[in-house]
Amino acid sequence: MADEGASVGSLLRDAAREVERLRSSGLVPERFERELDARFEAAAVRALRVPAFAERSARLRALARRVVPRAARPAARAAARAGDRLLRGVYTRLESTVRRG
Amino acid sequence: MSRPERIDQVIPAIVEHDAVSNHTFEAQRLLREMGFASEIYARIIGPGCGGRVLPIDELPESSGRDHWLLYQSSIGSPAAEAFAAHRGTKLLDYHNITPARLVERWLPPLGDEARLGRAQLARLAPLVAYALADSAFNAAELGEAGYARRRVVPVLVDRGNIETAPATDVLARLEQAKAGGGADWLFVGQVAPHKAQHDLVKAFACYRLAYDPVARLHIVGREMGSAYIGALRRFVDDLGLGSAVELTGSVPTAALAAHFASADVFVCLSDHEGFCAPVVEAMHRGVPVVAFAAAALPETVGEGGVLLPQKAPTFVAAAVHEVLASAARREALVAAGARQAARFTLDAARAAFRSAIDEAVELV
Repeated sequence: MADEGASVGSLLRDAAREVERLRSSGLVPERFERELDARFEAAAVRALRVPAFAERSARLRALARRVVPRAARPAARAAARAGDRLLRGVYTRLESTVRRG
Repeated sequence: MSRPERIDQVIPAIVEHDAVSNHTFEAQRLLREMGFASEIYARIIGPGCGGRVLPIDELPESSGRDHWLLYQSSIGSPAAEAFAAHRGTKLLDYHNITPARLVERWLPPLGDEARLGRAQLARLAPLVAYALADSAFNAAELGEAGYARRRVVPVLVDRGNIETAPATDVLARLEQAKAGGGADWLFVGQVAPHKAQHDLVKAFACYRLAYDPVARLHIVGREMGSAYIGALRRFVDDLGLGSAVELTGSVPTAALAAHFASADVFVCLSDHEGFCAPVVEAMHRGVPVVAFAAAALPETVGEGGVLLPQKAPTFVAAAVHEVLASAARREALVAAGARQAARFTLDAARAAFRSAIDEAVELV
């Protein structure tokens, strides 16, 4: 950037001052950041709970390596991913239906 | 000095719209221009690459010192074993391997492959006569792994990603949204935990809250597994940002050009990048870059963008605001980006690659 480091440095200092202003004004309180972290973690836990057969089952992958001929593996991999997406979709709909009661 | 007749390349997987794959195709063109016979052998060949790439099972046995192999290393793979077992003189091009801890929660098999990749990298060190790395960051890792002869050669960027004209339909859609006001944030890269798109969403949520309630975030790139993108979608929906955050998936080059043309800022909060070609593409296309200073990013961004020492969401939002609120700052950043991008032009990278191969031929 023009005057290189100095300008980027001043931009970062201005950004740090902005953070102070946003905090002290209550516009973006610290708890908002903590809430963002917690919400993503909750989304992560739910996403990881959904079965992902194609991705997570080492035993299934090992079995597939034994029984699927090498030439057929790209097609088999695509089919497994499609099946995985379908199963995850069904699971997600079921889960949200159950949660809604 | 012993000049080989052929230098073939071995790569674990080759797919379209992928920086390492593009680099491999460009390296093949260069090797052929330099007078070597050269084919690419891959264990996994993605759609659209058939015909240009051969299965690794067809890798011919070496007939002696006239047959060299160049291995493109970015993940663990049985392809590395085939490379190791070959009798030809060996070169290795290192694009870095994502640390397993960043991906294994989301995709355990990828964590295993990453660990395998690092173990293979160490095992290959005594077998490899000369190594290339696309950043000094990667070259330092090669040094730690025991590679004595190594040289930095930047990624051979895909000229199409820089020169292709924007798709008019995509650009029209993006410009129509822009006409309603609000800034457009852009990130391009695989949707993967180590690229930390979730941190991008957090920063973007702060930005909308503090500065720009109608801003938009465009996340361009194919997904790595379904768990991480599933969490990201849930997170976006939970924050009520479904209409503001666009997850495009993999897009054609012209659509990517439209996203660059419409973007106000390129924001990268990755925890790990071996080079990050999209940063260079953004600088080429005049989009100011704001990036978290992790892994190779300080080197790739250099003085051509804003390097963040931390990525607390509010701090990122404030830094982006500082870039976009001042036309003078934005223009200075665009100019600095253009200067930095000039270091990574395809011509410069091609010259570095040629020079490295010449040096390898001289030394080996």
